[in-house]
Amino acid sequence: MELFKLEQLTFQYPVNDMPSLKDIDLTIHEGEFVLLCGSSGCGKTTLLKQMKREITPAGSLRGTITYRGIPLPEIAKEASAREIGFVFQNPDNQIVMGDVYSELAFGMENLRFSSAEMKRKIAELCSFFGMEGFLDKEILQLSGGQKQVLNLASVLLLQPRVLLLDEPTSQLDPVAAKEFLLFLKRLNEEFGMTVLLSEHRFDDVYPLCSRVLFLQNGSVRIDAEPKQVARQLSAEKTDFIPAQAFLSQRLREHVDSEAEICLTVRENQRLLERNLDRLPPWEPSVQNAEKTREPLLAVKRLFLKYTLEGAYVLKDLSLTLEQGKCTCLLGANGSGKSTLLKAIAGILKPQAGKIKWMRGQRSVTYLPQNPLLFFSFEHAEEELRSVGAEEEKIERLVSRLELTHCMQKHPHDLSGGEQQRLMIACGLLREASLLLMDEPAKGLDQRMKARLGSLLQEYQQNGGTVLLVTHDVDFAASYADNCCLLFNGSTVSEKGTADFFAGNYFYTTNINRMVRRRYPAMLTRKEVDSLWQKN
Amino acid sequence: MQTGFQNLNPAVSFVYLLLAVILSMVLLDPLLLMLGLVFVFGWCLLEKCALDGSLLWITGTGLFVLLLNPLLNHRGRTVLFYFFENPVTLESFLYGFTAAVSIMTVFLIFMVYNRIITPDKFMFLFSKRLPRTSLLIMMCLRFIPALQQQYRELSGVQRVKHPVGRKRRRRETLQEAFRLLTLLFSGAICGAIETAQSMRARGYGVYARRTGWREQRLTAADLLASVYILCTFLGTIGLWYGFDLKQDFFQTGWQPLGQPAIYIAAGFFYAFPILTEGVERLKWSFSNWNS
Repeated sequence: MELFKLEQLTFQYPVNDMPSLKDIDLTIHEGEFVLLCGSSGCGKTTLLKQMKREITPAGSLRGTITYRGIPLPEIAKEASAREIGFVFQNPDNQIVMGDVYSELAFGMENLRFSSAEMKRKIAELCSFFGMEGFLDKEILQLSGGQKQVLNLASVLLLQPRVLLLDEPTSQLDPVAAKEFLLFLKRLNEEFGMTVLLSEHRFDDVYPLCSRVLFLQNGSVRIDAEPKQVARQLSAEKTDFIPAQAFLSQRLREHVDSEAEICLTVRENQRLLERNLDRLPPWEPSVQNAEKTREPLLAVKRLFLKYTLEGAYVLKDLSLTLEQGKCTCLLGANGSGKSTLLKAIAGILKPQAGKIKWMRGQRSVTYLPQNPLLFFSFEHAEEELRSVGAEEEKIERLVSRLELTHCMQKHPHDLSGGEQQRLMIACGLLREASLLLMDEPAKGLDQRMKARLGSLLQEYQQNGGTVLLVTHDVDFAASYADNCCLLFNGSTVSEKGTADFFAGNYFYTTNINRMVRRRYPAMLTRKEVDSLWQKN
Repeated sequence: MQTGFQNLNPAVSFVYLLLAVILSMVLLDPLLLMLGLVFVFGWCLLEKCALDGSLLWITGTGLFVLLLNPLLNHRGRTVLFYFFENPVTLESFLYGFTAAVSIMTVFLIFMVYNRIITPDKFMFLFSKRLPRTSLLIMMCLRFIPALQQQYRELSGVQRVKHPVGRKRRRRETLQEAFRLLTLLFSGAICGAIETAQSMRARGYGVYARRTGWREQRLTAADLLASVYILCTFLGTIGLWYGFDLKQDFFQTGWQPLGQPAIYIAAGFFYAFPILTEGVERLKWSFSNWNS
């Protein structure tokens, strides 16, 4: 049955010169699991928001959009609120109430459910999501992952027919993100709920979904089954394919011309198994390990807590940062990663322990998780100029991070990805000896991540040191020299990147999961390609 | 901690807190008020609230009232000394002390109120009658700590970004604070827009009246508690007005009140939360003992 039907839909924001959506013809059927992907700014969020009447942004709209045969603006208010559920990107701002139970009940209270009905529904859904553990907590005490599950649950309690999600996992750690996606899969399979999901980290979504829409410049470029999309995109050799498809495409190209494009880790493992004797040997390129380098900064036995009675967030934490290297902090939501960055930046004062800098090298730039905290001027251009760097440098960075069109805008008017890039540009221009970044790859597409990676490498070549916190395992594997896992407030593993990832279940890349039996230390797409370059 | 007083029906706790505030403002007798202060402070200790900086702040306010009164009020017979040719009397000190204790007690009761009447209890009390207003109040209440936290984060980040020397002119400090406030509010407004969208997306405003998920019946314990509270309160206030027990500080100085029963009634009223807690603990240890 047709759920949504979009005909010749064109939409333009008042501040922009170009339409964000162009002539979109699209039909979504009941029971589908649709992935929306594409580079940042391609119109994913805008398209999703067009399907939920209550949050449709202001702007000029042409074309029609119908929901179950009725034009969207004419649906009854209650039906619209109940049947179309929307989960936003930022887990914090969409929470209305102060405690978990009231937040869950909020939507049902609006639609006049009886008290007994609400309690029954909440009880049922809590067991489905395993939320019993934090049902009585206040919102301030929840981790990011818990908040996003709460948001999903509070939307589901209204029993929507269709669920629209705008990058819901962008702030979740790898374990929580996988879990969240599996919930969506179960909802789709067990209850026949229609799911539309936009996502930058789509590796794990491809095997789950039934249809992929690849958007480019505001129009749907490819609309097909995931396998077919992967096949078409890998033939074009773009970056926008999942790691699984990437690997099988390379195998097909170099080893086994009969290989199918596969979307799961297991299928790829089988494919490798079949061609085991035809695979060339591979050793990781040995990093010239100069251990003699003096550390730029040494954190020694740090203890930190926020309140007198509260538990320690950092417990007996030690860490050294070598000069000119990039170190990556990984760990679950709430394990103390951001707190450590703030302590090093000097924002938080530890109760015990020392942070020792190399003599005369104490200068630091801190880029927070939320870019809006960083900006202090009215235009992006002022923000960049305020650093006082050379004109030429600014120009180059602006063009490499594709910020040219944003220069005259207010930072608040930029999209999430653009804000992130602007902040990165400011951070790089400041040329401090230590650059601290909290989730720099968030909201960036594959291409921009690669740009950011090479910019960071240049920064290191000029003598800068980088410490970053990320949930993006692929980014860490590609650009970090050292990786460090935080658990329960202290470092449990501090190693070179290759040693760190090999053998992990969750904190490793999909490439490594697929090839680990043959090449235990292989992590990135680049390394896969290096297999055949040597021969 | 979900024991004793916290387990009572929100309506009963709310009424008790309200009556406690009324008593603490009406009974202007130093001994009675000290009795109240001691019990209310004990209650604070039990609920682990008002033990941080706010205790200092409350004591400071009390001291201020205590000292200010004798400086401005020169009535009374017993002159202690002259301050800038103005008499400072024992009676005005006594009056200041009484007022200070009254204010401190009321402040402490408000601290406990914050701990006991959690937002969801507040909603339970008022959401049926005033659904929209109570939601608005509740959201505002949530907004304040959120804004405080946001301010802390923002100022931290901005301090690292624009480091300033130790010596700053007052004007620069002011400018900096103003800049931070502007940033804070523009950020908060953007966040609020998203919250509003999320509310509408979940059907807020579809119907004029909302329902509430909370329902809590009056139990036997609640009824018993209400009777106890009303009896002790009415006893105290009845004695106070019935026998016109007002202290005339400036004529007679302090004298014990004519009806000692009022001390007992008020004592039982103020001791109520501690008693409920004690009863609960006794019950607990007995039930564990027998089994």
